[in-house]
Amino acid sequence: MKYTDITDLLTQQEVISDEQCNTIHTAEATRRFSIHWELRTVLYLGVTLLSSGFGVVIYENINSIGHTVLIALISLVCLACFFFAFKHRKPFTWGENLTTTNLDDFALLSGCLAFLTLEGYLQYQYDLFGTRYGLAALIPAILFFGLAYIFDHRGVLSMAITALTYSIGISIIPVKMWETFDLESRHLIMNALIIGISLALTGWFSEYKNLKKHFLFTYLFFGGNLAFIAALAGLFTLDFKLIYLLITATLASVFVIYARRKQSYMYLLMAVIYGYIALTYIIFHSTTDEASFGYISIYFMFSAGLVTLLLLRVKKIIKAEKS
Amino acid sequence: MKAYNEKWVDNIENQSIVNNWERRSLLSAEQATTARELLPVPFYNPNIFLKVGLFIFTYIAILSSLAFISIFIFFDILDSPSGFAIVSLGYAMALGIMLEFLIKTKLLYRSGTDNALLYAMLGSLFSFAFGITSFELPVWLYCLIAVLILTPAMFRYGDPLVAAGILASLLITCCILLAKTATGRTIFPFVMVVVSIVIYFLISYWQNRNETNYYADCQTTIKTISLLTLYLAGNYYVVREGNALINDLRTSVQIDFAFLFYLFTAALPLAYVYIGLKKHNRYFMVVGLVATAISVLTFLHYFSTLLGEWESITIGAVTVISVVLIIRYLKISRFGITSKPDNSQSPRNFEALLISRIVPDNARQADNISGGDFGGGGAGSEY
Repeated sequence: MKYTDITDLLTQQEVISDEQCNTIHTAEATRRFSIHWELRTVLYLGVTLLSSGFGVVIYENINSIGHTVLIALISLVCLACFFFAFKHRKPFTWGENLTTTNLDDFALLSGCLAFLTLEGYLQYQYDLFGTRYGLAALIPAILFFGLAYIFDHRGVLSMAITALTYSIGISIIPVKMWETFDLESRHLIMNALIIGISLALTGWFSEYKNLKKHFLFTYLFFGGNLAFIAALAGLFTLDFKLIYLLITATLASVFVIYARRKQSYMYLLMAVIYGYIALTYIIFHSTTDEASFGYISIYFMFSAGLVTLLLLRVKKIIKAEKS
Repeated sequence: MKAYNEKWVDNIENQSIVNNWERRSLLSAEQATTARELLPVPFYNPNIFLKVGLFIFTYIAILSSLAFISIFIFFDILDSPSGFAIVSLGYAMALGIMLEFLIKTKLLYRSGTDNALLYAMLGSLFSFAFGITSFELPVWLYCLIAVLILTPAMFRYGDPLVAAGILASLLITCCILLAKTATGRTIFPFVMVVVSIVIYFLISYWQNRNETNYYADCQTTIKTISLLTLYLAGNYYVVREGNALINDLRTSVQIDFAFLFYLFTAALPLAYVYIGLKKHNRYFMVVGLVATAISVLTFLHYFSTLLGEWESITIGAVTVISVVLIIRYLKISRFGITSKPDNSQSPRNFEALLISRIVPDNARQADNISGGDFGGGGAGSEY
């Protein structure tokens, strides 16, 4: 069916007037083709190539170019980017800035990348922070949080969160997140749990108080995943499994409740998948004998079937909450 | 013969047009609501996260059920190929009946569960084909069997992944058959170019004749893939290294008609982008951009004397400067093209997740200055 069929139907059912029908036809005929997102993606690629290329060049020529020259150069790039971004910034608001212009937020992003390069360089050459690596990651985290709120930039916010978790020694990037818990360190798991839960709470708070509530997704996604994975790591590797099981269960319940309130299925999916993993682990962990193949397959058969049926009905459950 | 209600499938697209008009303020909110009631979609077509969940858990349930039945009931029969075939056919029928039942009663449409059941059923049918032929046929014949199994499934369910499977099986058959003879190896790239073009135009013909939207996703999928295979079939790197591979050469050597392939590699991506912009066709545009990137890498691979990091700086600088210029140039829309966002929904939340990948981990790699470890940039697929 073409769009003219829809306008015909709507005119025929007297939903729209002939005049409005004509307006729609004109709008469709003269519709612009937006290549906004394509250009944006290519620009990301370019910025990434550029900054990683420079990173390697600096690393390899660190002894042949003068340090002062290099530091001055990187600082200059960094300042120029921030200056451009500041010059074109939009008035601050606790709401969402809906106008997207490409260049100033890319300048901001490039400035942040240059700042990271600069800091890394200083640490490498002058041992600025000594062995306090945590501090080295905390400084960009604080700066980026500030910039994210001033410029209303979710990308910089996610960079800030990433830097924050580096400062306690955890890689939050989803693919790498699991590797960091190989260390079996109670200390690390506790830190991750605390940071994860605080991030999620920050997200909830900003939504509740209507302070940049569109940051909620970023906070809850990173915080939630971090907290869930830390809890699971605790469950798998540490003693007092009951505690970690309870933490996972609590987190899952909170996410389910939140999913019902926000009608968001992503939170629901997170709760279901992490909860299912925890439950499966604890069931097979607590059976003292080697579980036989038959029991395992029966367990998966019925549990997965049950979850599927639940998910098929979930729309009704969630809808019911709304009305 | 279609498994899903055709009218409702059409209305999915119609509703999205209505939503788009509402966002552009061409329709008022009440008008849009009335329009949506006139174009109903009673399917259970949940949001992407639910689909993922449903798909995973349905698959676990199917696999564990089949494993359980196989071990405890059919264990003795499964030893022989014919027994394997019969059991597989039984599974396929059971899964098929369940699929149809759920589509009818639960009104599923690409909701994860029906996808999982469909793929499991097709897999069982394929195992049946393996069993009944005692696993002895050559690979290309199994590819043709796959086409025979998948084609009716595509017409009934209109699933884009099944469509992609058909195309892949066909292309693999072509490749294997061509590589068998010396002549075939020489004309290999030309045949693949022709096959891709023929498939593209056949699908376009089908698309123009067909009024319904039922197969739209299948058609787009096949057309997009054939655009890509057309490019790859003539890409200099693919032809040169492929030539070395099928002739068992240890190092790749210069190929015949090299100039032709240079031209093809350079010109086709630009042609795709041009057509995409001219006809306002996003698929051409995106495939063209991907092809451009591959072409740049191809030429660098054979001609560049620069070090890797300088290549990366040069390309990065050229890209950034040209994109910045294009964005400025297209701020006022020209030729019907604009660099301003369309007022459809933007993927900002996911963009933020991608950006988080470019933060270098200074604390963990304290001896490695930032850089080097940038996570590949561009399109991450794991979100």
